[in-house]
Amino acid sequence: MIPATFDYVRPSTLGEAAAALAEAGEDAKVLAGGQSLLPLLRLRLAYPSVLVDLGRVAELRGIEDRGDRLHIGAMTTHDEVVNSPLVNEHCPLLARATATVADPAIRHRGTFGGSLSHADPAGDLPSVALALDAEFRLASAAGERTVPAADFFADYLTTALEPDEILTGVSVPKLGPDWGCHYEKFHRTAQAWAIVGVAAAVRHSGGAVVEARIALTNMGATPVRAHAVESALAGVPLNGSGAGVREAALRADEGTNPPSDADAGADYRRHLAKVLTRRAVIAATSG
Amino acid sequence: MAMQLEHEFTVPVPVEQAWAVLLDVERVVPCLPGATLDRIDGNEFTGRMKVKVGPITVTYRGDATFADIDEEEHSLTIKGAGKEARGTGTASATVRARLHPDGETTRVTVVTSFTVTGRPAQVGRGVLAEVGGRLIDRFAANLAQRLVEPEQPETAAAPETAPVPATVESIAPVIPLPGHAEPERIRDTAAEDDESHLAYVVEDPAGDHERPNGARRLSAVPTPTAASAAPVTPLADRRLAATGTTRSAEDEALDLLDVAGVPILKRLAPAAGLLAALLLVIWLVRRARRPKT
Amino acid sequence: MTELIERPAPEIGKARRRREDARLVTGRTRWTDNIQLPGMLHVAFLRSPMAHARILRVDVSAARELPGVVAAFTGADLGPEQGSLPCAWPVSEDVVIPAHPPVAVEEVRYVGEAVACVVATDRYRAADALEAIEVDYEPLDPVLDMEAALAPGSPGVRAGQSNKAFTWVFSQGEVDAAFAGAPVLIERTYVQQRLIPSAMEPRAVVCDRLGEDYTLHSATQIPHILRVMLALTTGIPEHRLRVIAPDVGGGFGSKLQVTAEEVVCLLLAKRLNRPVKWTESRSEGNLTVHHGRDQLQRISLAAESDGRIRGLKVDLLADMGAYLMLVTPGVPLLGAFMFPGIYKMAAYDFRCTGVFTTKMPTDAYRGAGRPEATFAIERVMDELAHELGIDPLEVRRRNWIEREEFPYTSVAGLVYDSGDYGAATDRATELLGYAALRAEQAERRARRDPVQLGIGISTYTEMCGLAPSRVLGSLAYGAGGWEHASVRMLPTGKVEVVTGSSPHGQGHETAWSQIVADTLGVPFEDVTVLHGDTAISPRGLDTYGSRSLTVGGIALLQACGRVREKAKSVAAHLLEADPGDVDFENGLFRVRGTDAVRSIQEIALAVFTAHNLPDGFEPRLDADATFDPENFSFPHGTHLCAVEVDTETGMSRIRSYVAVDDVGNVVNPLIVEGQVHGGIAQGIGQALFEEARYDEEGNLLTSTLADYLIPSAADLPDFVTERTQTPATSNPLGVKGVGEAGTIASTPAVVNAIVDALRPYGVHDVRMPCTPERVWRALEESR
Repeated sequence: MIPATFDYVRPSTLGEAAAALAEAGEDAKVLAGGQSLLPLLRLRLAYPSVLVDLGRVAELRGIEDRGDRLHIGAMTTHDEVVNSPLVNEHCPLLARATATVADPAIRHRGTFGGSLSHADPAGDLPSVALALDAEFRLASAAGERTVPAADFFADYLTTALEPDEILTGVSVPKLGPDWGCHYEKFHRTAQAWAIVGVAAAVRHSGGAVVEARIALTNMGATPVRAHAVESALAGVPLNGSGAGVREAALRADEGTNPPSDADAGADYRRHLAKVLTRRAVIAATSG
Repeated sequence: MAMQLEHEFTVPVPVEQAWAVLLDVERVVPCLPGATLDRIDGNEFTGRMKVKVGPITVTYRGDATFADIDEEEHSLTIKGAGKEARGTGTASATVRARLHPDGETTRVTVVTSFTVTGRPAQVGRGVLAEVGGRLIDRFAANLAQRLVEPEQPETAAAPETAPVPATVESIAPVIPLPGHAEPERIRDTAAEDDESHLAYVVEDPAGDHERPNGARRLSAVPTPTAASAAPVTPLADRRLAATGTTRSAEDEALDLLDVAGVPILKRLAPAAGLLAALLLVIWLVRRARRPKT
Repeated sequence: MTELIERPAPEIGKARRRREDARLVTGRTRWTDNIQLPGMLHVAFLRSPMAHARILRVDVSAARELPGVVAAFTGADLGPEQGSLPCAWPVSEDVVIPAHPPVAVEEVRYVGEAVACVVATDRYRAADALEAIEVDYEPLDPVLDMEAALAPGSPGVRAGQSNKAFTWVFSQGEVDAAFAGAPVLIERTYVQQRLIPSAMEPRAVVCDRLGEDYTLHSATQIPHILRVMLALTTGIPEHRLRVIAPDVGGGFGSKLQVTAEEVVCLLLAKRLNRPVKWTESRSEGNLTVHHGRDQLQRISLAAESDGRIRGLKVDLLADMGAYLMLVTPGVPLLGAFMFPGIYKMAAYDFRCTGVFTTKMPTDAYRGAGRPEATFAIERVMDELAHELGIDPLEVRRRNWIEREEFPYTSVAGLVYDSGDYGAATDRATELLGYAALRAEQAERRARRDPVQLGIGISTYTEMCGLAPSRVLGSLAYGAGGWEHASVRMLPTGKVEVVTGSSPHGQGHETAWSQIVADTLGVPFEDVTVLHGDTAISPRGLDTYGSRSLTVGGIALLQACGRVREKAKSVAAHLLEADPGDVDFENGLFRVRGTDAVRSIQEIALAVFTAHNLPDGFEPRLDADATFDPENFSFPHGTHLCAVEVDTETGMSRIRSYVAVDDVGNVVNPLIVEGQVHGGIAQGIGQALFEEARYDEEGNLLTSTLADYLIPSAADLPDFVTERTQTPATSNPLGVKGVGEAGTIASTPAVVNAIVDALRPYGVHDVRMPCTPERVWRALEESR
């Protein structure tokens, strides 16, 4: 398909970008890597009046060590995240989940911030951000603010971003060496979206779970934090029969509202969430 | 793509009062989020509807008719059909509404079926089912609210509220921008005034929200203030109010998903529970979604 | 000519890398969409969003007023001139071939059918202008399910008419007797889901007019057939029409078609007297490239208690879609002859009913009828083995045609010329480690491993080398099955080959050069192969049905032989010897027993100068040949795979895959390997991933590649491939064809493996594609 006409702005600073967006009004869209937005344009399911391309805004790109947290610029590509020594050392969950996004070509174009702003519940990174309690930095011509992940993902393809706001970066906590993590993605082909995904970070010591952070991909209109599993996991022994983990994982679909679509029925997704959560926790805590 | 939804709710007004509202095209049509009336000719009217989900926008133009009006049964059917303003696709819907007198209250049943063709129907992952279902939910919820309104709804002013649904944990310094030397917006957590509005609460007990087969229960919970100071904002969604779509025929898309404002709903749920004893009106929206595809 | 393959052949058999790949892979080549002509306009089609509707009004007037728009036409505007898209295969007396205007006039009958077109100065303006066209539709009932469509009282795809397109029957032997009192009776129903051929290059058309002459470039498999059909459809005289298939990026049958867009582009060039271009987008293509498969197969097999087959009955419903396109009704017939597979049986009954529905028409897709048949018989053989409690390999062994029995006339009347099913199967079981896997399977079953192992078997044969013209005639096909080649030596000793077989990714340029190099004794690099242009290659029947090498390659071989004989007479003349005393080897003519030698290049120059030629010798060193095969060729093979099925999630993972194919003699093993790999992948696509899904209103839900899943390398295991070699006896190269074998073989192998893994749970079938959800639900239902 061929997209409809739109105006195109390519600022080189965040300030210019925010000003352009403020001026353009609510039918403007921010263009990051374009891996989700451009297909919608080409299918003429989206008709933005203006595209504000952040591709030249250098300050939005890169990964910084900020003490007990990492700051990841919104325009950092998936490939840069996957290969970042900082991310791999301090936040391996993010590196592993990002490595499952689509294919190498898309990972070289697609960006961390673009993926999160698109807020596709089948996307892999929103649930990771939620599990990690990431903090989202939003900027507009009027100012900046910080939104926690739990409030950022509002609904299907919808975030806390106002039409004139730009996601500038995301800060994630460093997890210490006592944390294990795993992203369990269930999809039909390597390039397909997750039917269900489970992002798990588990702190364990002395053969038992101390603390768990679990979030689910594509189990509702937004990523869902599996609070019931998290509390059920606390103190569960990791050696032995594995019954504790198994039982905790059975609560994975609590508080979810999974879709029924061409890929899977809601009941199947609920079942998968339980199985995959168990596997994710086991993988996160072994080795 | 075809889909059918059923809603049932009870409003605390006599059936004749509700029936008068239901017959009023100008008051019923705006209950459909994103709908705008262009022309009314008796029971026939033309209008537009803009459906917006994140970056996806589809605008339909079309006609609708109030048909099969049965004064005895207090039932009518709204039949509408439209075409995409910019694409080839079509949408059509049939809404069968019936009022059942129940003392001083009225039980309302709404059966809606709709079909969509064209590009929105040709992309997978159930985007349309997601959107269509919510759209009709909102229509039913708005209609429920509309039916309890007195005759002069235009006094329903949009309350001034902060436009940000998310909790703000910090107020950051402003980036120096050309032409914006000072912060123009100060954002706040801004949940305090929620109690002054009718809350739109998703009760989400575990296991009671399975779709498509299960029913999702929606409760619109007016606070004492709201109930005593009618007319009220239909739903405690500040953005909904702020966009003026509360009743005015405005050529604005109602961002369906945006208005759902999940974080707000989550925060409101406990408050609504505390206020339960004071409820003057409770209605339940039972939803039985039956996607045919 | 058979001596060619018996003596050392430096080129034939060599795994040469394909000479055309550098330009194809980089895209710096003559793709149709790369063609830019001065003043060229761009065409866009407005397509129906309705599966079935009456067109009340189409108003293009607003579109015509938009900047950059040159013209806009409705179906009515194009009028009778647009004709009706052709169906070249009226399979039966009762076949109904409905009128099929390229742009719909009165009714639309599938989502995506064109209702208007716009011509503009660029692609973007053309696409924008579509939004200004107004169409009023009166919706009619969609017709989507084949069985419901045939039931009395069903809405019609055409009002007042039956939805039956045709019935075609075949019967051989005493079928009733075979089934009466049979100790074992297996009856199954299988669904061949609808597939979307996904060629890498989208369809594209460029059409230019010069006076009364037209040149149409199209990403087509069939420039020659297209030329004839366009002439017949539009009335533009055939000799005024040149069709060019430049480099074409895949087709899998989807470009074996005369499309609405080709006809309309031709008419637009005629009306506007300017060049026009149309290139489809992927989502437009998913809607409107003809689809494949879509059959409902009821298959019954009667057998003795030792597993020997008594008879076979097949009752097929084949979804035609809304119209019959070029060979739509013939596709299931190509399968009719293959249901008996490699097995001996005395009785066979086949019935096929073509059914109209309000969907995109179906037509040839890689294998065309044969994958469907192979799937059904290979699935049923596994069911028979399960019923009898014997190994599925053993039940096949008890029924297949033995090596000594060739040539063998199958119950369907085909003469299988050669093969060795035992050799291929033995080698495949060895490569897979069949016995060890069975042991592992037993062990996993015993300990109730959540991950179960299944072993899938597919012992297939197919009919290739389409086709003997007389056979096509007896099946009512509208053309022959011969192929043409011409070979000319240039003055400098280089060779120019013209083939009528139009490649779209098969590697003709490489394989043909290898044949020429060996036959004429010239270096591989000295050969060029011209193709795909009716002005350069005036005779040909194009590329489909694994026919290029088995038919076109033989024409080439014969033309080379004629050139060589001509050269020999000149060489003898120059060497002052009797032609009977001149030998030819490695490009040199030598008088036997002497040192007197002339190279073929010297002869080429001598013919060009014509200073000293034999009396009556025309000064040209070239030849033509047309080959019409006497029989089909019958590749066969054994494909085995091991699949791990996660019974918790339903996910199937192919752990190992072995293919031992017998495609006869091989010209280029690397090309054969590529065909086998790609074919297996495509067949696995049907087994696990692909399905064109329509909803109950007839909307296609899989209009993008995000929804229509095709496997990539990341989703597939390494394939272990080997070959056995029993040369075909029906052609002098002994080749059988390999274009479709992998696709035909792999689908049943994978599904058989999944079912094999699930047997302990009481699951005996999973509908394709075997998605994790389908497997999980099958398990849930049987738990």
